Amino acid sequence: MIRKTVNSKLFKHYLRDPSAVIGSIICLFMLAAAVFAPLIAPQNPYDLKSLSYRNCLKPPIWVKDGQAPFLLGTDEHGRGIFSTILYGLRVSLAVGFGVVILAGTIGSIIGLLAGFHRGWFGIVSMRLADTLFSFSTTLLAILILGITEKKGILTVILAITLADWVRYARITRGNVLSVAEEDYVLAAKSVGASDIRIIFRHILPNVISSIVIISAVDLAIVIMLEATLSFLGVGVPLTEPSLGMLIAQGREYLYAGKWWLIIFPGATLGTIVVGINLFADWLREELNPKLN
Amino acid sequence: MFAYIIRRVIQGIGVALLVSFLCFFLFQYVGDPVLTMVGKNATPKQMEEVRKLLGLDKPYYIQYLVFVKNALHGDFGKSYTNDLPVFTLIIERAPATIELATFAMFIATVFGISLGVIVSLNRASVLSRFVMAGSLLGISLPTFLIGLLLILVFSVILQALPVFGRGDVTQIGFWRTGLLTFNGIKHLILPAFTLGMYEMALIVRLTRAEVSEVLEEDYIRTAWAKGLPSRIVIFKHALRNSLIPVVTMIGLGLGELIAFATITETIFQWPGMCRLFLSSIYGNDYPVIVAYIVLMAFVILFINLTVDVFYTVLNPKIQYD
Repeated sequence: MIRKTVNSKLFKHYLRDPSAVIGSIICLFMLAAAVFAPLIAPQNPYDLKSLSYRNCLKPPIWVKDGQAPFLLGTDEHGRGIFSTILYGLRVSLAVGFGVVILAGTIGSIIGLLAGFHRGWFGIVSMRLADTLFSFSTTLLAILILGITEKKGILTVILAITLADWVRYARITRGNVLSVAEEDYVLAAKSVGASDIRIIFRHILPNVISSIVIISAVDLAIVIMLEATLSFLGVGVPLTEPSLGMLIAQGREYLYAGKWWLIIFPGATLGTIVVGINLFADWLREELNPKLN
Repeated sequence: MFAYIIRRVIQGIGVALLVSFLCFFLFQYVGDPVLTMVGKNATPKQMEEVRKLLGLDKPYYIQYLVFVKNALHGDFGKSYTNDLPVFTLIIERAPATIELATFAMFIATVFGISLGVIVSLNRASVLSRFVMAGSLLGISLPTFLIGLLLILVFSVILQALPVFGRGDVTQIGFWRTGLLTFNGIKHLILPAFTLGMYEMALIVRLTRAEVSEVLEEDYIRTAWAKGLPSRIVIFKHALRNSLIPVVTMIGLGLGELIAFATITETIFQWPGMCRLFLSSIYGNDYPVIVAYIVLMAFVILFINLTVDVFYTVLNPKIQYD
């Protein structure tokens, strides 16, 4: 199977596109850093025993007054920025993948059904999707999270999903509409295949590539959205800070010239989104034959 | 066309009804605004009275229906925190937001389209690569981060531009403008660039893709072959035919622009209505939240309609039935 992958056309195209390779390496690198954070981080920033006020607000190690082992400096509680970034990355990626999986599944299924079954379900769900879509995803997420009280990572995932599923539903439905009239679907119908079988065996394989493309773009959007929500203080709880919240905390020290508190978490956030976008650009060109 | 506009307006009213219903539905699960209003020394009886006075003792769907009835009479209620009519509160702050958003959109459109055209004409040049790398960063950095970086560079390090509020403003009728003083315009620069940056990066990328595609068309080759000046080929033949998707995206992006204005106004302490919305969310100020959301639904509807009408100007073949 590995040999089959390596020899496939898709993989060869992938190797020929340097930005796709760079993008995917960045993504894999960040993913590994997040998964193995407890092993890589020199301290557990949320273990109070490892903190000391003597280490407060130290600059990065290469600047005067920098101090080992705090490679990228420390924050106001003496937590190493390198460690908080690793742990923050976990939260950011968990929310990102959580929303993409949940919203992607729900949205795609609704889109498939709405495109296939054009009765009341199709009309009601698409009216709802159009309505939500013409409003802003960000504003809706701020609203939902802003007035919900008990918050954890799961609440954040659910709230963003509630605002985000329409992206998948609308595009999937559009693609289903154009596929549903094809001869092979009519043929399957005429030999008496069940609706479920037609949807999953004959329609889904023909619309899956656009779902993959939207998922990649959406992952970047959701990671930024979560950062924004946490920056505004309506996102993840203080006990599980994501990259966005680290930046929010660093903002208080910006005017005091403590730049490392926002530059490093910000650079991490930017790098990972750039990586995803580079890979998503390649996917779009490769999987969407219309563009070639 | 007329029937189309009517249909869209009905849809817009649907959006407003739906999102305001969502608000009331969510409010029942939230912190008690009465508690924050009366303070902790109030007796339970006093709290009951306040609750009754505000109509908060009724089930959420009744509260919602009462809201709709009053809103139809132009009454959006009073703010819980300072007892002023919500409508006045929002309208007072609207000019600040409108000036910021317009200026940001202007920056995004003008710079975005011109850079996009320049890049598509000369794809391999150093400038093009630089612009494309910049646009990748522009769509990959969230608005709040762009704002903080601009503050760090232009205010903390270079100490060149102010970052708090609107500066000197002039009152003209009900409109308080910051555009008439040098100081006011200086205050507008960083927030406007912050807000416009994401949209600008999107426009650069889309314009480049569209113009590059159109430049391959036969009619462009014909235009060159006829010996038309490049100004006419590029702007009249190529750009005009690539603008429709760009306009669509600008229209869709305006909704998000309003959401991002919330972030920009917070970072720069811009006294606009989006910041009012955020502080009312922190303070459980229900009437302000609902009124703002309903207003935004109509603003977004109005923007979308304008874009639709603009399409027919760009491409007379488009007709709405």
